[in-house]
Amino acid sequence: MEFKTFFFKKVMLSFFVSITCICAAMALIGMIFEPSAQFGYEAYLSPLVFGFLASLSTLMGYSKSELSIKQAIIRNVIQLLFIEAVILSVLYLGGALASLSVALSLAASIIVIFLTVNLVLWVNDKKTAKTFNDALKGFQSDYRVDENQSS
Amino acid sequence: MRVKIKRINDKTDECVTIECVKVTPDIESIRSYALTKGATLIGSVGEQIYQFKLADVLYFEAVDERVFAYTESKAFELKNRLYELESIYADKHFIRCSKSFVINLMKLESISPALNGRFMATMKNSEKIIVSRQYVPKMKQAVMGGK
Repeated sequence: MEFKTFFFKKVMLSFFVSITCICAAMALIGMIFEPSAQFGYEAYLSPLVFGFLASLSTLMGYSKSELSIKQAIIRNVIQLLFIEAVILSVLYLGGALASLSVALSLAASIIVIFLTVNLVLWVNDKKTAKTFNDALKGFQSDYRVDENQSS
Repeated sequence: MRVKIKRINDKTDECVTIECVKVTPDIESIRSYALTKGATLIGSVGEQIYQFKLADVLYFEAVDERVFAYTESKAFELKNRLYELESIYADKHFIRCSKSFVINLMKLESISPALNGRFMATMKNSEKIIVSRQYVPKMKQAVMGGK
């Protein structure tokens, strides 16, 4: 896959799915730990910033040479650890990590979001495979000579 | 299109004649298919030399500096390089799916998603081959055309 195609197909899709999941996670964690907290308009920017940081890390999965399944898994784990470190560090520096329970909840929600994004990407690939397989059957029947008929 | 089959006695005189007003992509495909059906390859298994049909080949694989053609029952070592086979048989439904494999689309059962944007190709004999991300668009183009 060319870099441009990889960027638009994987990174952009990952970005939008991440934003949706981050909004849901922020709402859930906020309602549990700080239900009375109030925010300004700047709060709308945080899903975009965190979504951008998380999606940018998708580039770690890009390689010109073909990765083995083991290498792909290792890169995915490194990517998850990177996202956890970056987002938790940003929140810590911003004073948003009030307690250990909040930090653990956020870490868990990052894992859930990461898995959700990868699931969406996999479902997208599954759809591509189905379209291809349906077309393949038609392609093969178009070119297959009925041996019995011709003999 | 009408199809006529005329029986003859001599195997060496067998031939497919296409009578058409214009050579369209469909006609080209029929020509390619007819050529593929008749095409044979020479390969070796150990000391033995065999002649086998191109249409029976599931895929070609390059292992180190050697290239093999796999049919349902045998693996024949060939003298050609993988890129040569890819080029020669591109119009006969053979397409590269990774750095080391050129598969026969007519012997492909299905593809399914694997990790990291790649796909797994399952051949008609249930063998599984990794399809690299970079070759997926070309495979889609070959099978689906402009759709």
